[in-house]
Amino acid sequence: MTDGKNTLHASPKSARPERAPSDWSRPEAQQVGTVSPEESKLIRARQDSRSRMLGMILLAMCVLFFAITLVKIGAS
Amino acid sequence: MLQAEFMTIATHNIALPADWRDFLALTKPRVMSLVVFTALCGLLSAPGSIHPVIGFTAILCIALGAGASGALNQYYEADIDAKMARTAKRPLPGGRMEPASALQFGIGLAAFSLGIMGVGVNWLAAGLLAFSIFFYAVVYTIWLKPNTPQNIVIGGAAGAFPPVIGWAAVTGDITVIPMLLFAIIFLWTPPHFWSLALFMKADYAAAGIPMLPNVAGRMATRNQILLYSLPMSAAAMAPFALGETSVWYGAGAALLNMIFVALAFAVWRNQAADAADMKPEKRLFAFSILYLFLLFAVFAADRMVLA
Repeated sequence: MTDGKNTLHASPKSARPERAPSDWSRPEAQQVGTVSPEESKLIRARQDSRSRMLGMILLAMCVLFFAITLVKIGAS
Repeated sequence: MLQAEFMTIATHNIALPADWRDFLALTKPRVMSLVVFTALCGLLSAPGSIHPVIGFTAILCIALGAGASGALNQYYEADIDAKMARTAKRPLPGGRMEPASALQFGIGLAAFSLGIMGVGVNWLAAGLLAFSIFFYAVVYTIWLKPNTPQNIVIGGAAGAFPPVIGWAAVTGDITVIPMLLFAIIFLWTPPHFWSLALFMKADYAAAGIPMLPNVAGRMATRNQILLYSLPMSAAAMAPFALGETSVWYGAGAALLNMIFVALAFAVWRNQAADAADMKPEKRLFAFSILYLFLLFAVFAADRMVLA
């Protein structure tokens, strides 16, 4: 559905040094200098898209729970 | 193995968060549409009434439960999916999502759907939904599918639960009618999947899945397709024979059964070994989907008019 969009996984341009996953929590491993502006923009756009979708789902769930509560209270 | 590959990639590159569309693809929306439709027909054909909000909640929970099953299935089968052309572009074999995300999404969706079904609808429906998720994700995906050519015969039970759950959401019990709806889908599943497996034989062989055409051969599979279409037709006629529907459903089911059996007979007569020459198999596969949609639609409409 989103073929080819996840270009960063296959990007040969990444300059991030090879590290073990256990190193990710170290402060120096969290430097953002290795992320190019284009990559940063792509990540932010993906995060924004997911956040918007999650927000809409949560809003719909709130409405549904409210409706279920009204029905259950009405029935009792 | 796929997980190890992903970890290697992640240590070299920046992991891009999976798109929400990839999470949607994990739920197998096409399969979900058939699940939702049969569940809706089960719900609409049940005696008694259900508040529209509770009915909607029940269908939503069944859809989410089916989505959870799909996500857990894709998590477990990512390495197999990567070997099949039909499934190689899914989010996990396509490298667009971490396996852990798929697992967490599947478990979360299952827990959410079961909780809401139990609290909002009733616990019998929630129990049936829990069993169907477990049956598909564990019994079918982990145990049956990689080990026996009867995988989709027994595993077909997982797909047969939705109308029973829909019925149970309204009535809180299970009678002979939902059991017949279960039987129709259960007996429909083998001809449906084996016709697909005949013209996708090479794909399944590459993935090492012991589908019937790969294990018993094409002719044995064609025999089984024709054989299964007969009890399936009988199960489809049973609601009319038991007086639970009008003659309109009986006539509609008889017509659909005749077409199905005629197509199954054409498959039985076909000797082709090459997928390009398997037009009867492709026709049966396509019609089998339409068959189930129409049969359940006519059944639900008939029951609603009778009510």
